Amino acid sequence: MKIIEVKNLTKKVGKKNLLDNISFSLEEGEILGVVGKNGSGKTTLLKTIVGLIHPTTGEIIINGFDLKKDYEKAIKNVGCMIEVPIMYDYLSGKDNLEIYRKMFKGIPKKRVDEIIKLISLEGSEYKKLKIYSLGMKERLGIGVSILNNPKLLILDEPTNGLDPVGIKDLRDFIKSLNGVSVIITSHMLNEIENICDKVMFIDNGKIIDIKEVNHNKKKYKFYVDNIPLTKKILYPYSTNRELEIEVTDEEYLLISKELIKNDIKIFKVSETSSLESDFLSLIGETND
Amino acid sequence: MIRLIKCEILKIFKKISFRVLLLIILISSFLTCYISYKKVDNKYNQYPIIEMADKRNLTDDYNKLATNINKINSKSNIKLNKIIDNGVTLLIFSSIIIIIISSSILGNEINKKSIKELLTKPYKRSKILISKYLVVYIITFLLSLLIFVSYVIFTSILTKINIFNLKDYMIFNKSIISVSYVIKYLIKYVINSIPIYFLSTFTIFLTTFIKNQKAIIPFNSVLFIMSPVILNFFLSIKFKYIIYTFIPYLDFSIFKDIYSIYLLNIEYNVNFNIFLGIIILLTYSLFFIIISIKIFNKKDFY
Repeated sequence: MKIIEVKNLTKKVGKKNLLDNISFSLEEGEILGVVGKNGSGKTTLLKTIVGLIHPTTGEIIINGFDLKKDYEKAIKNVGCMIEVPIMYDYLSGKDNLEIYRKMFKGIPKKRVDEIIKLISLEGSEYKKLKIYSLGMKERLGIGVSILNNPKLLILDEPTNGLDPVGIKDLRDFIKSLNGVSVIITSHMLNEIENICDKVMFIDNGKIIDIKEVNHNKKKYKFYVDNIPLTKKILYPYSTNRELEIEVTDEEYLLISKELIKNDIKIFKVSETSSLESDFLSLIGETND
Repeated sequence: MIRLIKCEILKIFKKISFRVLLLIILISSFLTCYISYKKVDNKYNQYPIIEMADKRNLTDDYNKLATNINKINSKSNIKLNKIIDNGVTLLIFSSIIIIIISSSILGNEINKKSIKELLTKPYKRSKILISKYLVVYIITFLLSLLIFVSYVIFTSILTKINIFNLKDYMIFNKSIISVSYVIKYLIKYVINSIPIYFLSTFTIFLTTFIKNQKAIIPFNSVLFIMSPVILNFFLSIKFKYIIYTFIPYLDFSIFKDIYSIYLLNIEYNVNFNIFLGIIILLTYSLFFIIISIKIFNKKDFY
């Protein structure tokens, strides 16, 4: 069942299209990564999905409900963290969670303690939000977004300010969500590649491409002494007739054995992100 | 919506500044009561008599009212009444506080962008906005009640009179009736706090579309304080339709002097009175609430 369907979404401000005819859908349990340059429309798209921005045209259907006509029913099963989460800095982390918990029907008090443990804020929950670091605020924002056990989780740059442990925890947490659909934006392409089932490339408010992420294959680049022979051996696997291949672990083993068998000296093999090369080829290298 | 209201009230009550404010109100209440008690001396033994109007058309109602008020005043404890009346001035102080609270309940959230978290919860925007209006009305009611109750208690203590058992007189349906002292003055406080509810509505309305939130507090405060001056100015240039705006009714204490109001009505051929004021404030409040909901619903939060 489709958890979200976005149809012909456009947001026009003056003469500029912030979003231009965006259409996509997400099945239950799928994780969609949204990547693009700064200013490409990722955050605008997410803000439109959660109702912060009104689209000029188009439809957003969440869990079978039209966002415009049935906002409360549509957004009931959505949790989100858009940009840097801003809450009430004169309250503690726990108080903030309590305030938002009370807004939902039927969420028990113990859920707040569960969330605090999940987002690793134990020991800091009674401190005022104004002394929290960016990473702690991001964790709290994630905590607020999952208070209501959402079916659709929308996370805008959730890795901002997180240390490597936090990033790993986030990755593990997202992977542990069974049956929960996630839309996530991030500039950390390797994380996107690791977590997501598909990736949407967006530029100037338009969808450039949507690609499935193949977790079984990895991209490698070879640095060898005998380039022509290596190219010949790699030809069946090569994506660009050069020394780059995208293969499974078993295929990689076979290729390595073949190269060694042919006395080819391997100086270096680097594992590259296929998403990065896709990003650069689809969207380009310049930043806004 | 009840959940939203509870959350808003919790947010306000958890602010240390609000709790300090309640303390300041209590202290102000005591100080005002004490100063009033000391100022009222034995020379002031009776109320001044309200003058009768000329025997012209439309003065019969005024003369009846003036006669009844003179009768009530002759039976009342003037010193006690003067002290209690001064408590009404504390409502002016609370008006400024309510303007500040009204400005921050939505304005601060928009400025600091915490409104984003609120708007992504499963509530229509209209419900969120209405809950903020209701919370400010509840706070206004609680503050007015705090001022009234504390003031009556302090007065009772200082004058050593058990006000809660005292009877007084008031005019109801053109007749004089005997009522509990507390009830009479509670009604007076309630009526005088009506403009505060309007001010809070107007302030929240302004915060839905004015970008410079910091300007709203001084603007509304000045409007509130200057309302009698603005009224007199427009009447002096013969623009009598000013009485159909909300400006003259931002402070009901102008209706205390019924003789001046009578003269004003005769001179400008208008019917400026407190009941018209209540209707006008209610009408404008409804209008501002509806417009603010429309504005808030259409707003994009980038």
